[in-house]
Amino acid sequence: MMDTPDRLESITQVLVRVAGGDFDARALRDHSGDPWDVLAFLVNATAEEVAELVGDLRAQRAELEATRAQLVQAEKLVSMGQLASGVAHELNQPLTAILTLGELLLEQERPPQTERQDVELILHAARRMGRIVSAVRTFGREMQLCLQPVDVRLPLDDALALMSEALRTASVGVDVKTCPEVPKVLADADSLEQVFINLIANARDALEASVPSHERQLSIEIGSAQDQVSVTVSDNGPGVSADVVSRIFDPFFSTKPVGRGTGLGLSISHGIVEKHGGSLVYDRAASGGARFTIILPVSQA
Amino acid sequence: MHDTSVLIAEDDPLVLDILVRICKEMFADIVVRDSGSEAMRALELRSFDLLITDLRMPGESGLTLLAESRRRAPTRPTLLISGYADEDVVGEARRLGAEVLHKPFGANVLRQAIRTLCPDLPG
Repeated sequence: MMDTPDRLESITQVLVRVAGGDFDARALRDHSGDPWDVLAFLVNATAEEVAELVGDLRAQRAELEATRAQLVQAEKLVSMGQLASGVAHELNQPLTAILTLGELLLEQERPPQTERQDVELILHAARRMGRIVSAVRTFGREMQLCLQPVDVRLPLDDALALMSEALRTASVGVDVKTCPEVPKVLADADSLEQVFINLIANARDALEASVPSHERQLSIEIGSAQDQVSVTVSDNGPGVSADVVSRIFDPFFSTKPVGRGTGLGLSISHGIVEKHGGSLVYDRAASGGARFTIILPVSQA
Repeated sequence: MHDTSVLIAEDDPLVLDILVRICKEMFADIVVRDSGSEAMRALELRSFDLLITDLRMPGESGLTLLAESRRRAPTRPTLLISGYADEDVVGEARRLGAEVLHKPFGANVLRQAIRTLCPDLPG
């Protein structure tokens, strides 16, 4: 049996600590079942309940703040996209003038050879700017997909054909594996081709930048399970480093050297696949390189 | 034989300048307007063999000009210059009988487009 003053002291202390925000405080009990012990039990139970509620509240607040931060980020991206789209449109006017005047210069007899080469360089640069502008505008635009039952091997073959020269000059070996039966998916073939091109181009760039030329390998695998078709595009490059992996699908994020990437390829691809009701995810390949997996629902048509 | 004529509606001086340069190779009579409403007035006053118009301009838009041109001279060829790869606009312009050229383009693409629209041009 504890002395009454001690028990009063213990219970008071717990209440003072709980009032001060320390919800781990507990009153001493002698488990005698007398009114002091019952009071101590009730105080402890209340402190426990409060601790739990406060814990829940804190978790909810953290979640709310994370959501708010995401919202702010999303709003920023939207306004950045609108700004970029407007800038891209304005750039088309001077680009038109550069291209036209450059071509007119080349038609003249006068310029000597070195100057001709300079003009050709200017035209080359202007065409590249045109492609960047077009990529930015494509990104800013709401996509209109023309969905039809598609065998994913067709847009994949088209993408590989388009990229064959780029892959060959970078000495990248290509290995395509496909499951025996590939069900059709409901898709816009042109958009899927763009996704494949983006993923293949990224793999190529990564391999060229950091793998000896005789070891560069791109692997593509088509699989199907239940109501889904998957296409994995992987390489034996360095993979995506852990500190940037959460940002790879963000618009304007690029790890490529300045002038090489618009930072829109993966972002556009992610948007295209999501619009198909599918998913595009990244993980590390068995080789340690990058692996992107596109999952698309099978067409019910 | 009358002098071949073109009406160019474009509000950006830089683009207007290059349109005029290329048109000078093929047209003897070039009329330039820097707003949709001014171009509309020019269409009311006289006839042209070709209309080249920007999409977005002060006053009337390029699409309105295309419609007006079609109403006045259904067989007159028209060329819409657009910086917007907007499918709706392209579709609407084609319904109005126009060819569409997306910026940025160079001298050769522009010449090709004009010659396709007006195969009988000199030069």
